[in-house]
Amino acid sequence: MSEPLLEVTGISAGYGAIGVLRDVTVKVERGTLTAILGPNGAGKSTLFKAILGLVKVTAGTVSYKGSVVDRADTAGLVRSGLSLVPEGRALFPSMTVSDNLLLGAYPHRRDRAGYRKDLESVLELFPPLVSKLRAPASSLSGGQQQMLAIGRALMGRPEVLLLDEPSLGLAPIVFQQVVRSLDQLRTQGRTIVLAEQNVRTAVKYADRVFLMRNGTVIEEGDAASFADLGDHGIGYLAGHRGA
Amino acid sequence: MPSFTEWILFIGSGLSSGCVYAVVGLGFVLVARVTGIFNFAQGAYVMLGAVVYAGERVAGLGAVPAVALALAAPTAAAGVQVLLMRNDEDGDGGFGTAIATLGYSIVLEGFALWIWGEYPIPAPALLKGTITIGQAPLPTEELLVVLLTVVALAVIGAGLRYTTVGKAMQATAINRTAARLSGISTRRLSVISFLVAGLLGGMLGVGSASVSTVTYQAGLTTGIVGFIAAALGEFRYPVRTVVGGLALGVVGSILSGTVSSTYSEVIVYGILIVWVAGRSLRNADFRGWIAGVLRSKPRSTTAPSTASVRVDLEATAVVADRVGGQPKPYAVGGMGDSGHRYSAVLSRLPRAVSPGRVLLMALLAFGIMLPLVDTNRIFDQTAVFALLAALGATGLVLLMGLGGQLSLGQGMFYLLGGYCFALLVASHGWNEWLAVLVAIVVSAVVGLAIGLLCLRLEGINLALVTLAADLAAITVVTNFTSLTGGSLGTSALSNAQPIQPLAAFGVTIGQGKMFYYLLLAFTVLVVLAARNFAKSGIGRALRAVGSDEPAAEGVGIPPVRVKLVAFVSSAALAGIAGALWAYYLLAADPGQWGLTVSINLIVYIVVGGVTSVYGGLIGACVVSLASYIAVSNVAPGSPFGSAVTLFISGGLLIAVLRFAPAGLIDGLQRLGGRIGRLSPALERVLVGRVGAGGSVVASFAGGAGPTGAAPEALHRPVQAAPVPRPPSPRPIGRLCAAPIVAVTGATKTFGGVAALLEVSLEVMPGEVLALIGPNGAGKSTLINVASGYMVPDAGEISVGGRAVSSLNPREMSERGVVRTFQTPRTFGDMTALDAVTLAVESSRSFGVLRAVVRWPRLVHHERRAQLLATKLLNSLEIVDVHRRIDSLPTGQQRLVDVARAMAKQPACLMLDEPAAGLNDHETAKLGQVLSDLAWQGLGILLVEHDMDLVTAIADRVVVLDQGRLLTQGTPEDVMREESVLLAYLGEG
Repeated sequence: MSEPLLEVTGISAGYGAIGVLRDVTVKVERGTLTAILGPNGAGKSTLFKAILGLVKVTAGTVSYKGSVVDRADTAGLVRSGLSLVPEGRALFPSMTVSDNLLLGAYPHRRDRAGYRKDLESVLELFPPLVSKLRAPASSLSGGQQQMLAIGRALMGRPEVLLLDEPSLGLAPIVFQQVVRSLDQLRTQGRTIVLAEQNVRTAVKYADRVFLMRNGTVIEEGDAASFADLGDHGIGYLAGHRGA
Repeated sequence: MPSFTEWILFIGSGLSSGCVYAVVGLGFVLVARVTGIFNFAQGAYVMLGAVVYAGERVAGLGAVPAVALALAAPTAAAGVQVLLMRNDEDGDGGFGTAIATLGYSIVLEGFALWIWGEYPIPAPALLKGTITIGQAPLPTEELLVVLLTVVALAVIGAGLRYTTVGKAMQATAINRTAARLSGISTRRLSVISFLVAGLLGGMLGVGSASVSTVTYQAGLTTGIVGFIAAALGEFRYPVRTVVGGLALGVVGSILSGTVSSTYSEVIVYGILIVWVAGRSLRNADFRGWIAGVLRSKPRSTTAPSTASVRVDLEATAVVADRVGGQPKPYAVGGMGDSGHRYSAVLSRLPRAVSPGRVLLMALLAFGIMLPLVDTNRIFDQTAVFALLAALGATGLVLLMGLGGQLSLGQGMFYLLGGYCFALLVASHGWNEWLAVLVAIVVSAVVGLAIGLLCLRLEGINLALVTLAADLAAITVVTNFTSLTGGSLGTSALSNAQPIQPLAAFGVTIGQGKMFYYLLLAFTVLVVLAARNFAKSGIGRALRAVGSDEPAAEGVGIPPVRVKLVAFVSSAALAGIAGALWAYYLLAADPGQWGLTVSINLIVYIVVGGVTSVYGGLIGACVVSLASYIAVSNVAPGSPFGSAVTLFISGGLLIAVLRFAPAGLIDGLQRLGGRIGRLSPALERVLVGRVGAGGSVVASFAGGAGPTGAAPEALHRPVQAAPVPRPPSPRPIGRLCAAPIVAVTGATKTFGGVAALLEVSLEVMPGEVLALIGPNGAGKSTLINVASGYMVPDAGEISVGGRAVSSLNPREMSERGVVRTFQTPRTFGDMTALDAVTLAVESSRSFGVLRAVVRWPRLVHHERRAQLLATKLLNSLEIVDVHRRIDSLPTGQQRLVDVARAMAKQPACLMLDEPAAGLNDHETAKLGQVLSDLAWQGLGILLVEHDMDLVTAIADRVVVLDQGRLLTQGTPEDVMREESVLLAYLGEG
């Protein structure tokens, strides 16, 4: 097995003096779809923010492409190909769809030709956005907003795409579409990490699964070994250990 | 009536001064949009550009190199400023950062004074000649300034709208985190925005230098009017800012031409005050608000039906103790009224040592020795002025450090107090002490008026209005010669009798050392009173409001009234200081209380430390002493000598905010903590005694010390303890058949998306009702609606059978509906004990005077409240009650939130995910406590994801999905339903 593209080793992190995450280790291989599952408050979002330097990491390391990253510099990390679509999408609602996409390409803003090519492929992936380019982002439906958020991240040419609860506020059928496009991205060679509560869909498409609770990873394994998680029903949300 | 030509002239000159306001405002807007910082150095850039241009032209430099230099200097200054800024200040936008920019402004002022001197420099005109419009000859330069403004607006407006970097700036203003996640380096954009702001300032400086003469002091006033223009543009909209600035200029010019030329500035400030007043009126249900403000005691409006189910808290604490089976260090049996019991318990608590005490004693000794050190008369004066400043600064600490409210014009109250005193005594022959009393009353009343105007609006309005009022007051006393004696002061009044120096028992104290000692004694009394204020209920309430206003309201604190108390107190203190100041000088003149007094007060408290009541005193002493030493060591009369005090106060301000943002006191405490850790013996000497565990060191080190052993122990892995179910079903509704809280058909939409759609729900007394559902289902919205934090678009809330329509959180909590928040809102900078004590005592009125003298009955009640709070916290196994809440583990912070809610003795408790972040043991304990509360008749609404907890304690479960009520029933039934599984886990 080759060296992991993104490797989180024993990190603790959180807000203020006391941490949310305790000793979390996650390895992500190139070209895979990794699912991070767990109930609300398990620390999934904090893990993502810690990777991107948005919360303070008190112990442990994050390495990307074999070197430890400078966690203070979020924008630099994004420029080097590590991209996060945060919970709640964080679009620029009053700006147009095309401006949102333009800003996603900010790291490569001098490369006009490349920008047009990227834009074409994003619009190919998310056709509903084509007719909305001049509309403000706030006028989109929830599913379209999620597409725009992912599209904006793709405009930055990420190698690793982290998505925090893309299912939030989406009808299940719309979420299925979003996950299918993620699957398509993986087949194009991108690496995807997905934090989700929507267990069944996530497990269906994932290669590898990490189960978090109370700020730590309590279990990890191939997606196949989690396939019956859904049958445990709601119990998983209670976090019965080893569920 | 002015002629047409005069109109043209008025408008012409109004436009040119309006352009200055507009472009300074534009600089404010640009920097505020990109970085979130109010950059008060903006005016200093203009001043610097003007002084450089004029100075270098006079020195013989050609026009082109002088212009180049004048553009480069402020740009470089802005660049240095942004590079010196800490990385995390970028986007902070807090008061601290704004105040640091004041420091840069002061330093630039000092720099200009040092190099170019204090006298106005007449610059040769850049362009000569006039242009005639109608018959009015308008100077060409005025038109140049107008042209520059138009160009600046066009370039900035177009730049923001059409370039990628401009769009990135907009995006940063909308959502900084999202911008960084798009790969936008916000730090670089900050640098760019500061550089552009500096360049704008330079351009404007050149323009205005050739229109009028400029001195080193011009920066602050220019900056302030620009600030007002930016406020008119809401710190966001370039066009509105420019229009606002031009309007200020033109209206001011016309009014000064037609009404009064002396008071044109006052008119501009008046416009601002009227504007704020308008917003305040528009925002407020005015009558209800005044009634609320004036109401001396909280209404006891508890609905009769809910009153009967109020819970015996003490019993709860005891029950929880009994069930817990854990060591209970401070728990005692039933509390009763016997005094010795709780005092015995309190003495066993690890008391937070006040590190300020050692410092204060040292300072006092120093203060007593001081006049003996140096017999120089100037030194005596410096010491007196330092103490007079300390009085006002102590008041400002209460307002700013505790209440989080910024006043930039506190010097106005000095001026009011001083003039009241001097005029009453000199012109009307009043008794001196009577005059001092009137001075206090006048300051307090003006403070009350300003407070009523501003304190309902967000914080920046108070800063704006106090600043404007201060400047207006200074202008009025300087120019109203017949009343005040004008710039020469009251001693120049023809009808004035000389004020007699202070005398006691026939001995003239005058201006000698005795005055100093009397003032020192008074200052000590005031500082002690401030300390008592801070440690009493009113101080806790104020800190809570400063920390989190909505949460404070939820605890039952009336925020406006509490802030008003602080502001009026600070105004009265400044008024006393002003009156004593005039008594010391035996006159009042405007030179004493210029804008620098206001600015210096802020410098003092920031340098000393705003979070401590001793901060004002220590800051005033340190800065005054440093200035005295510096001035006496510089050759008198040298250009550097006059600027050195500006360098010291500005430099100290910047340095302290950069390296010890909580001020010198905090720095000393940290140092003390570090030494203490190195040597326990030394710590014993410093602290007096060693408390339990690491807690003393931790509190001594301002929470930055070792976390102590106790919380670690609480966090040890515990076998998942099953929550024991109560022995028999609870007698739900046994006390009254009606629900405590009923929500009927509530709908709430955000931006067209329904977060809540016709949801109905009832909480019965004695039941635990669990509200579950996937993320985004509308659970938090429902709790917000049910607890008065949000008004539903449709639907009805009733409490105790009575419909309520427009209740705010405070009134809901008075009716017995209390909630916690998903993200704990626990007043992080307070200790757990203080936060819960506050909730216990918040139903009492906060007497200021009784607090100041530590009235025995008040202290008695406080002790009781503290004991009860300790027991409540202990019942939830929070032992380390003296630690700052934000240094506790997240789970414990949540439990503090729960304890605080319980302390309100609610009839209905609404908990938003109380178990998130708790370990198994803590969760089990929480479940036990909630179960017990329900047994005693409380209704509990529990939003929770932890299904173990829900199954264990809930009587009923309501499931929400996508804003709708999906199903409800017993926990077992609900968990079996396929629709619930589907909502949670998604389709396979």
